[in-house]
Amino acid sequence: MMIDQSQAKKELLDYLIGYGFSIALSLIAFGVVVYLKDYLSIGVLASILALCALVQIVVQFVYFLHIRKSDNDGWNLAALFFTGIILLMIVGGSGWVMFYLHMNMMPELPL
Amino acid sequence: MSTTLSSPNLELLQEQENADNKVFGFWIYLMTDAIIFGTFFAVFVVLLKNTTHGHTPQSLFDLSNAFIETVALLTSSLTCGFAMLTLKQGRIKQTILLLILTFILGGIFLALEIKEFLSFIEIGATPQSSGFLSGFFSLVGLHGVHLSIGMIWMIVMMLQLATKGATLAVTTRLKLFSLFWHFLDIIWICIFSVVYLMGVSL
Repeated sequence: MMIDQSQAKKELLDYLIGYGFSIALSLIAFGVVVYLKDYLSIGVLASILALCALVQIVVQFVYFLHIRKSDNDGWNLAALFFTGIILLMIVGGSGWVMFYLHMNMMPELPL
Repeated sequence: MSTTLSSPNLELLQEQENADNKVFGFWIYLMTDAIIFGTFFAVFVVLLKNTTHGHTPQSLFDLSNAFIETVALLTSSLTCGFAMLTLKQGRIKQTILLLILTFILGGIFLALEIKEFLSFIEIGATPQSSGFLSGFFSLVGLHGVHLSIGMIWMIVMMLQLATKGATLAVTTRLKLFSLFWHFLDIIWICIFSVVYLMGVSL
């Protein structure tokens, strides 16, 4: 299974771009928590972390896993979206329900 | 397509299609695995505050350790990608070399993780001591188990490459492996963001 040189060069570049983005985004996420934790509110901090993670996941899917619409008539992309919806329900739903459950519980007693 | 296909050509086409189906089937498996990880994440987030006045994320987690783990895993994903590239070009020796590099980087990650687990257990932060630690050990441990399986898979692939060469079957297996390894990278991104960074910030 041989491929021509320009194609190989493009794929090599793809991996390097993906790697560069991943390292940069990880550095931002860790840096924000280590250096700016005391200056930012938890909401802002959580938003930055969520954004970094989300962008990095997309970068990984595009540059490392090479998920494209054309492959497999888009069936792998369809499976990915379906999984995303299920995950949103499981993780988001649990968080939502448990958050309100905690709110309605007695405050934790000091030891 | 041409109007007539000779039978060896047809056979080749059939084989290629089978290989593509295998990759798609494995993709479906990875999606179900993502759902399993998702439920573990949900459990961890729900139990995060249940520390029973004991060890908290702030008192336990060492971010520099997590950062070194992150760099090791991201780099191993890159070398794994390079291994796939050299395989496509038919440079099998380089493929094996890059797989060895991937294996070493994965090993560094796993060693750091085990060291972290042992240091927690040493100071009494065991999985059974609080809800938060149960969630932590099961989520991060599940990722570690996946990684160990990936490393065993890597050894098998290196042996197959060395003995069988780059046949269609071996190439397909390596493709599945690279999907698996990149997928573990994505899970780790979620773990360091949610468990370590959010845990320390709360």
